[in-house]
Amino acid sequence: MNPPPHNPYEPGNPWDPNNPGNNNPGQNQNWQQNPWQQNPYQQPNYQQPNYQQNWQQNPYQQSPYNPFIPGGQLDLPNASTVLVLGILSILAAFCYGIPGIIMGIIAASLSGTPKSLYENNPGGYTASSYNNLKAGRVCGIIGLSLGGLFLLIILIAALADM
Amino acid sequence: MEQHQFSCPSKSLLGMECPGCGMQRSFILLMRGEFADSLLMYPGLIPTFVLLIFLVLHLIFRFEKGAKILQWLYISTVVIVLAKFIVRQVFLFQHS
Repeated sequence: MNPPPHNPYEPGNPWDPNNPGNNNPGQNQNWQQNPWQQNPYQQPNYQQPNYQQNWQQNPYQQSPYNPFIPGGQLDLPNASTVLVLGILSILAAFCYGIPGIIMGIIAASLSGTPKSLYENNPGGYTASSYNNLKAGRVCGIIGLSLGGLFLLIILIAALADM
Repeated sequence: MEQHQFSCPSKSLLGMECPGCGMQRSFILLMRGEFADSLLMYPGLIPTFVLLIFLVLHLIFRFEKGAKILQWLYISTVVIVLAKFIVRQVFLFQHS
């Protein structure tokens, strides 16, 4: 059985020497075809960034691309904030423990979204920002529990005095 | 600076020392250069300074193990402060 004859009008891969396809974009048979697909200068694996965002979509879900870091990874949002809040919570826990509790709660709740973001896409975010997030979360929770402890002790002392 | 110190409300209202007691006096002693006295008055002050300085350095320079070191520094500071607080309360309780 002979193979079917080569159809010169069928669009092919410009890199394939046997089937280069129609290199002349002016001779497009199908006017509804996407003209960008016939561009011979286009690299085969080029991923265009997603400019047409659906505005109802979560803006954090666009594919992260950072041109300044070799892996193209972004920092997790709010990771430094969580770290700073978690470490400052011990200083704030000295004054009756109430600011420490507040900072601990904020640190723990702020770290929820970036954590789930990282778990969905581990390769897209820098590891150092994830470590910052983890450390800040742990410190915040410790500060929260310490603040609560101090508050409890002071309340018990106040009640015992009365 | 010695004349404008914050007053801890728990000491004036309840007569009980809060875990941050002595931090300001310890800081003044540190400014005067008496490290041993400062450490005796409030041992948690120098670990706190180390923690804060390391936090700023880590945010600027992004050390590799920086987050883990920060975490352990924090835990050690907390342990020192708590230990001092508990020891002092027990000490006072025994004497009165």
